Amino acid sequence: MAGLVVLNVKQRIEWLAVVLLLAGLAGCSSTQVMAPDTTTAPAANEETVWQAGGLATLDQGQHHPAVSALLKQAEQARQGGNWPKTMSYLDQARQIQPRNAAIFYRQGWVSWQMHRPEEAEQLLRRGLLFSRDKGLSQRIRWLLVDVLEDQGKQAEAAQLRADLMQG
Amino acid sequence: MDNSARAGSKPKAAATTKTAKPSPKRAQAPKKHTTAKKAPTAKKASTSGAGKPSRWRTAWRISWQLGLVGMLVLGVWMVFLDAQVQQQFDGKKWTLPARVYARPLLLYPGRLLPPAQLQAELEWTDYQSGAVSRPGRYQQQGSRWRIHRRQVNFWDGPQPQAVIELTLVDQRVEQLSVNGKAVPLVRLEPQYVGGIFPSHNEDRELVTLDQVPSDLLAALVVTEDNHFFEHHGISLRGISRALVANIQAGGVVQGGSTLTQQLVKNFFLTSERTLMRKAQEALMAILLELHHSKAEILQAYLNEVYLGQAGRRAIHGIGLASRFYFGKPVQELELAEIATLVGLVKGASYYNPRRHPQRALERRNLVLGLMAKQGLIGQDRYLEVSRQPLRTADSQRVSQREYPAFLERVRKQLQEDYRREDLETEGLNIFTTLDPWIQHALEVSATTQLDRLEARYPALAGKLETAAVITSVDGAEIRAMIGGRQAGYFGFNRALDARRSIGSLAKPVVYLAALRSGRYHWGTLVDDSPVQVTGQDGQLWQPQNYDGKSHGLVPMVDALSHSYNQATARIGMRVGLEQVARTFNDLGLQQEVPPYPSVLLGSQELSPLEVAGVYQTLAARGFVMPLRAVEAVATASGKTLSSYAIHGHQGVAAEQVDWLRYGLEQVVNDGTAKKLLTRFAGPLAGKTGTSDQQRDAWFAGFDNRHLGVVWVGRDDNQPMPLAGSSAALPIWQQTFAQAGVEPLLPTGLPSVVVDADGQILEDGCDGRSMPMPISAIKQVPKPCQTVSKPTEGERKGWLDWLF
Repeated sequence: MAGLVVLNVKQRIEWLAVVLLLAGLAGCSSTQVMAPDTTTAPAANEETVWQAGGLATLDQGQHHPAVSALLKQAEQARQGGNWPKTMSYLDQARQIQPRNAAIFYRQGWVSWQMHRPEEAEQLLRRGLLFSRDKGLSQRIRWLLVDVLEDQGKQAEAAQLRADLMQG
Repeated sequence: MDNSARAGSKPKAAATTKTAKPSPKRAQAPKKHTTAKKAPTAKKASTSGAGKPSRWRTAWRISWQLGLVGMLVLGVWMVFLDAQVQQQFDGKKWTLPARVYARPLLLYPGRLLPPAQLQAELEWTDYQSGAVSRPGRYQQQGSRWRIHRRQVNFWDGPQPQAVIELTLVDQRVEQLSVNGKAVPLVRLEPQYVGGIFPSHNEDRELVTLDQVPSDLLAALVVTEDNHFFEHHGISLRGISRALVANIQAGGVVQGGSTLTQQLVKNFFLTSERTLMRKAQEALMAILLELHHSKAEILQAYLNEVYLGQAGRRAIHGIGLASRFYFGKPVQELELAEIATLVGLVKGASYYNPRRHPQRALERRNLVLGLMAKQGLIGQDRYLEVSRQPLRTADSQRVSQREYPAFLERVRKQLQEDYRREDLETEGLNIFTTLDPWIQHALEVSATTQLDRLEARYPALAGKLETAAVITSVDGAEIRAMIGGRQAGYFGFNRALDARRSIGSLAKPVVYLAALRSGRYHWGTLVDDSPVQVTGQDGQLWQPQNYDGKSHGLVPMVDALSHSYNQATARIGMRVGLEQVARTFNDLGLQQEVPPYPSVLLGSQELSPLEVAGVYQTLAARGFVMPLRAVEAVATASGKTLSSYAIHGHQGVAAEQVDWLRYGLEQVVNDGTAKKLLTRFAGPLAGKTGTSDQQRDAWFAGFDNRHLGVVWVGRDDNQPMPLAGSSAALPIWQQTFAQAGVEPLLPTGLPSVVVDADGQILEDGCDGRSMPMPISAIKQVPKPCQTVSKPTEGERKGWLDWLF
């Protein structure tokens, strides 16, 4: 019974983390359609955003119609828990718009979900290279902080966080 | 059992004849059996008689014991055979090689798509021009296209057949709809590009009975085994008839095997012609019928039967045969085609409709005649169809060919994740990155250009070889690959396995190392005077320029664009061989680069694929990615097993690679590759390469979308009167002309003005403008006047005061 409780708590934490990151992902599009910055919002609100069905999905934002269709498929695969498939749909979108930072952001996030923080870091840095949108770049950096911490790169993460806090 | 009873029967007929001749041992069997039947009477007599066993009684006992042993052996054998039948038939039924597909053509509004490409890709997947009333057809009316796409198993699951409509305006997709509804994206059927076969190269495409036209089933049964639905595996009537026919003919003219026996023979047994094998076949046929329905047996037969040879592939089953001979799935077969296929069952080689059309026609009409005789088709229909000419699809058509060089790369990539036997037998569907349009362009260009060169240099006739790799700049997907001049030939794959000196293709790496060192920029003057270097072994290395001249002090960018060897050697030695070797590895080269001076001018030997790996990193702004040939793997039923996506790491800072790109652009603007600008609008980036004594000619170049690496040389490694710019570059040029060139986008690096001495000047000064990262600007720009030419009347030195 105790084990079950622990599991539920774990699940809840994971769920909140997913919500937090998806909310962050949601606002990023190639056409600068901005979403509310939920990456730093208190945890209590994140679930609200998610439950409202607002912006917390991979296919949010305005994109090229073909890219949008693939992001939608990626989101469906994510909801089905199929991360490799999610990644592949995102990669197909990337092949249509190979320098779309918003897609790299999503691929970085999915890589992280797949417990591949090294790969996630590289994809996020690739996204930063192509990003021409300040808001999107900020979001990528915030995610990068987490990804760096996951790899034990605490100093680098702390420095990046400090830079972000300074604006 | 072939009801047509014609000459040229299969070995099974001979075996049937042998079975009819009883062996001496078997001839006694009925006697013993008869004796055994009388046994109870004899026993009674014995027990009621005088005590001594008679001779008859002893014989009876021995016979009884022998019979018992025989029955026991037969029983054990049958149990063994039964287990074999059940295990093999219920378990793994067929060897199903992996089927490899090109990338599907993605259609979406705004996509660049020349009409010629759309038409070609449709034809390469066996779509025919005509009314789109059924799948596999397309129709073009002006800018409007209608395509009836077949049901397709994509990597992420099956998609039903659909009518796709689109308009192409100015070579771009404008409107797009599927079944009348506007859509943002749709995929066309991908082209089959080959298989991963086991050593016997058996290939097949499974069909289910409900997919097979009823005419085909009827034609098969009426021709091969008219009593199929009545017998229990063997047909005594069929065997007797065959026996009589064979005796009358004085040889083997007719087989007595049922469809079940044929299946058993093909499925479980060897083609050995012995009595024992025939008995085994008969027993197994009975056992098979005992456990499985007629429908299951028929379906297995349709998938097993051998129906021809396509290059290295053995065509098995009606599904693949339908595609191979007629370019369509079995559901779309017409009666004449059905009869032709059924005719092939008797002898796929003998009745091959392409090699022996007259025989195949007669055989087809015989099948049609049997159908008419049995009332399966009317007389009018028989007459109508039998008068039709024999038609087959072109065996050399693109949809039936393979791409050996690329397939080998696919196999190598997959062997990291899959067992070889699974790839060869599990019927996996492999979805790859191959772009058939670019591949086609590459193959045509290679052939055309090598023919042109050999016509110009007759001494080279038949001696030139080539290999090339084309990738996507941003994702490292391999879009095209040839391993030799004959792209369809399964032989030495030069793209992967020919390691040759890369010559001047090494130079960009030397210059990148120089830029990274912080001691050079593109305007730095470098010395192109003769140079000699003593190696560790005391050997003297004295590189010379291609034109045999020295050029004195030149800006570094000119040394690269004109590929000066002497200047490059000096730069490399100053930067350090270890630094150059490290830069090679930073760019993704896996192998160790020896720190020899000759490495600076490309003495190291790499394959075109390895060179592409290094240049890929240059084209992708320093992002090292493994070159990828596979997108996804799915089971035959459509379940995704694995899918792949971009991955890599930033090997070299993007800013530094952007900086290097300027030098590579000057190679095209003003250097050894400037002939590219006669055909394309730049900027483009590239580098020519010619190895020592002109044994290898290379060109590596990229536009905004694709990277291409081309090698030309001789297999015997002898010199050629050719260089990278005259042999390899034209292949690149022609390929990219068809694939479409997209100029490079600006890197965004700031520009500085550099004077003739390599000094950075303040903005607005006269001089040569070139890009430079801000982090690399280490000296304070000099004001314009400090380096401007002395004005008239101004006296600078003591000589001026004298004169």
